[in-house]
Amino acid sequence: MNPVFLKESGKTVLMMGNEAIARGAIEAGVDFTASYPGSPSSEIQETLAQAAKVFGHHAEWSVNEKVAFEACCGASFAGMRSLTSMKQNGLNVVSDVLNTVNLSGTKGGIVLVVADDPGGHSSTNEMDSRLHAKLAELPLLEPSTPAEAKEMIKYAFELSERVKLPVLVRSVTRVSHARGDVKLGEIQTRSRKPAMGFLDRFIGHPLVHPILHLRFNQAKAEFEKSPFNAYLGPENAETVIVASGPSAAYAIEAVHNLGLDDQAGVLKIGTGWPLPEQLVIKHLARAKQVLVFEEVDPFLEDNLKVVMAGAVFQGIAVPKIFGKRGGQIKGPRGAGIGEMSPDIVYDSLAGILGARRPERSEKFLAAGKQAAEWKLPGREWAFCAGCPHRASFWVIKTALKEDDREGVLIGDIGCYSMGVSKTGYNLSRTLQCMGSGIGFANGLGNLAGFHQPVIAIAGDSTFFHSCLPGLVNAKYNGAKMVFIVLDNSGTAMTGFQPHPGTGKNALGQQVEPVSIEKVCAGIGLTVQAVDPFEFEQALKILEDALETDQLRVLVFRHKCALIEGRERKEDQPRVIIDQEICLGDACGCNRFCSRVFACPALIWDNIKQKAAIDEVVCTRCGVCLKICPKGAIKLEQPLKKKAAKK
Amino acid sequence: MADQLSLHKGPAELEFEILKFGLCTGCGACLGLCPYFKVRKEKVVLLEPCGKTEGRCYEICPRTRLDLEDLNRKVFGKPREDFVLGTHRGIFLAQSWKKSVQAKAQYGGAVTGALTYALGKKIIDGAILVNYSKSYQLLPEPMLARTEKEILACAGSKYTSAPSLKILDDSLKQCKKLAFVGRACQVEALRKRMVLEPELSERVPLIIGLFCMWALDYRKLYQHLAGRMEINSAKKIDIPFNRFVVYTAKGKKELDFEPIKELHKATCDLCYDFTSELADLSVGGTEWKDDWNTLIVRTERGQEFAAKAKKDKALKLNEFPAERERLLRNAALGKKKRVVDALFVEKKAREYLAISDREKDWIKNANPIGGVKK
Repeated sequence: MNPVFLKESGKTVLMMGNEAIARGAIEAGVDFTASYPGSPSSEIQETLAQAAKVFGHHAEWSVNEKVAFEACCGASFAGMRSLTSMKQNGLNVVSDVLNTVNLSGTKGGIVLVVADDPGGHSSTNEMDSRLHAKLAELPLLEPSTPAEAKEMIKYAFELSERVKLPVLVRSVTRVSHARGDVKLGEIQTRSRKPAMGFLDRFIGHPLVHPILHLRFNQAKAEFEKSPFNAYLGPENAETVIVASGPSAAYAIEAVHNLGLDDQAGVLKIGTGWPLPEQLVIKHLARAKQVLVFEEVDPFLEDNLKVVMAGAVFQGIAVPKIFGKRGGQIKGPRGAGIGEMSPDIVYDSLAGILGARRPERSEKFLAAGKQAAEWKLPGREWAFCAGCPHRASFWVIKTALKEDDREGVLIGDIGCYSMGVSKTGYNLSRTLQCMGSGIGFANGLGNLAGFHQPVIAIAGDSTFFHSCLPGLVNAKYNGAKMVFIVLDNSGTAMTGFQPHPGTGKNALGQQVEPVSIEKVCAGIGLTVQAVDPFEFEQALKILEDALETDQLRVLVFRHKCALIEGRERKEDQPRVIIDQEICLGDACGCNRFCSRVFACPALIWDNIKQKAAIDEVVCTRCGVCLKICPKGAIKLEQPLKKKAAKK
Repeated sequence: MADQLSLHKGPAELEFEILKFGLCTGCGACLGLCPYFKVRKEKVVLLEPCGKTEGRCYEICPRTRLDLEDLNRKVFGKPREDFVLGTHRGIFLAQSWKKSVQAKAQYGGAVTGALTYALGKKIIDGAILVNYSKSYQLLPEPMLARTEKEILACAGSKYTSAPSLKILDDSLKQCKKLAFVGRACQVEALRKRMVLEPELSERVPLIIGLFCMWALDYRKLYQHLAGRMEINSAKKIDIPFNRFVVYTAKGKKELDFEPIKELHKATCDLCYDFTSELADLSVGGTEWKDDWNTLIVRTERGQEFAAKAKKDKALKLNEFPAERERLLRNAALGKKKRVVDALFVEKKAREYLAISDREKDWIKNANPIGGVKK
């Protein structure tokens, strides 16, 4: 059994932050979970989906974050505990309902976990979700370790039920994807019975705004005494460091290693919003200087400054507050940009306090030098070997060229987002948020005097997530475009979570798939499906569609190479380069396969000076057979036939 | 191979100077060579520059430098004498003996007759021709014909710029000896390529050039027709004596020819070569007798072939009346004069067409009516 599901209370288990969050929900006896995947949050719902078989709660992958959160609200309205998780972009999708359900209030405990991606490791932005808590006047918790994340989730359910509001928990990559010791707690037996009583009404309206303020102040009062806020260091320290999330851990470590334990205190804030004002004033009242560490925006910093400005009325002097606003605390790309790191904390502390950073040990430096000498090969941001998106972009590239009207490709969110870069032949002109591509195409496709053909793309999961309103709008308002669904049969970028088109649900059960073609046909659209590996056929269909100058939907359908790779049979013939036929650099093709088509499995053999196949990564998909102008790329004859020939 | 190249330019220049300038004739010569050039509906595009600074694509393009003097010497072994009709050994009225060929072909069926004869005599085992596309109305597509039936299927003139040289390299893999039938620009490109690859001459023993004043731009023509008729049932185009006729499933539809003439490719206005002067045999209509062709015999090889075809009763060859030759010369000269006049304003044209100053002056001063000035 997954150790995350163990019932042995008191046992310490190493787990990922996201698993700890899921464990927290399990310990709280969660009844209902619904999410849409997105890095760095995906493992939360994946774990909860696995756990559903053990603990019996509901677990689903919803079509998008808004639907997921609304489903959780529904469960809450009936008195059940619910949890949704998402990445920061997803919270924007939720924000509409977040700003009405705050007014209406909720009933059963409801927790919204948002995992931010400072630095944007796998995101189109590095938005700081905490501002949504402020906007919607909802309580916000910020864990700094996996262990704390688990405890905060449990507390969040209780708080939510006391204040009758959804509670936001903001994780970040270095909590969600870090691993740490987590002490297992008791698992609450699920015994709630869902019901909506006569008085259970949830009406969002400004009339009830005062109620929200009451609830908000109730949360604030609780936060004043919350164990998630802690002060470490000497009483009445002149220097106080205020930090939240993983920055708190970096700060504690840095203060110690810089030998500042006697001079500086660290105030770790776990209840990010509303800020416990009295606690803050208590620890900052005698401080001369304050340093604030957090990811990404100066959220805590700004709120601290507001609190301290108010403290003036109590006769308290405002200390110097160093942070991102003044540019004293910043990463290599500037203040308020990118992840916080131990290095930034060290350097800031050393710079502001005049402390000297301890030298690295000889052993550390030697190990570092050795590691540098390994010379790990650089890897390009690229579609995997055998990826159907490469074939799709190849077809689109060729079609736009042959069409010769300077057509534009409008991108969307998924693995195919890499269409903005070399691996997608730099074709995509936009990269924004889910469903935005077809939205932009609605504008371009209805623009008088704009004669460039428009292609919008979206993946199969993105199609269901947020493309449908755009598609209906295009049909209704007559936007001219070719909309291509790049259907690789899964939510590939976030780890193959199922979606309505896959015929499987979060629990792995077979369900009736929702057909993309039928949905489009239902809208009244002409839709055609083709395998992008069939270059000629796909190209003709796309070019014909472009030439209609009408709204057309195409489905480029081919399984993700990673799925196909797993399903591949051992006897599938290898792809080989016929060394007799490949002319190497004597061919005028100038390395067409490895340099232009550029599947990572097509490589250049520097010794033979000819093209070669990297068999470690080759998926044997065979699409490159259609690329070589000389026909030098071949499938190896099956062994049996070979023997028969001899 | 690169050391043979004389122009020292590559695909980037070809794209900038020719494709983007609207000077591409759609001959298809660059297409079969290389995976970077693509064509759809007769428009040639460069997928992306291959990164090489020089290439055969630039060298053999009929709109990059075309040294007619030099090519004449290479094809005919002698300098140009007849500036109007090009080097030739005879002009004939020609007709296929076969009624089946005549019925299917344009005018006298001389090309189709010559090809079926060449195939039957095993002079060739395939011919690069043009047939209507199965996917797109009125779009001619290159086809390698390897049987008499296939040759007959390709009979009849096409009036847009099918890029039939696209399939040359592929056809060479399938056949030992090929015939090529095409427009002057295509014959020029093929001859330019033969300079780089002399062995190609043996592999393509029969080059039949077609008389061509211009080729229509397929995409523009399609749009024009689509607005004026039931295009989906269109099967074939004919331009008999300055009339424009579309054959459809329901019958014939005649359209005003004057506006359609304007849909010809701009690059055709820079063509100096109405009668396909570098071919083995050049064939066109007569503008006189509906069931006969004009046939110009040019090379020694062409002469031998024509003589055999006549002897074996594949082609009827009659004397070409002097009066008709004068009219033919007038047509060819008129086109040349327009091009030579343009050379002094169109910089690109001057760079492309290399003829001797003697020829240029002669053409400028020639009188198109009642024969030529000496």
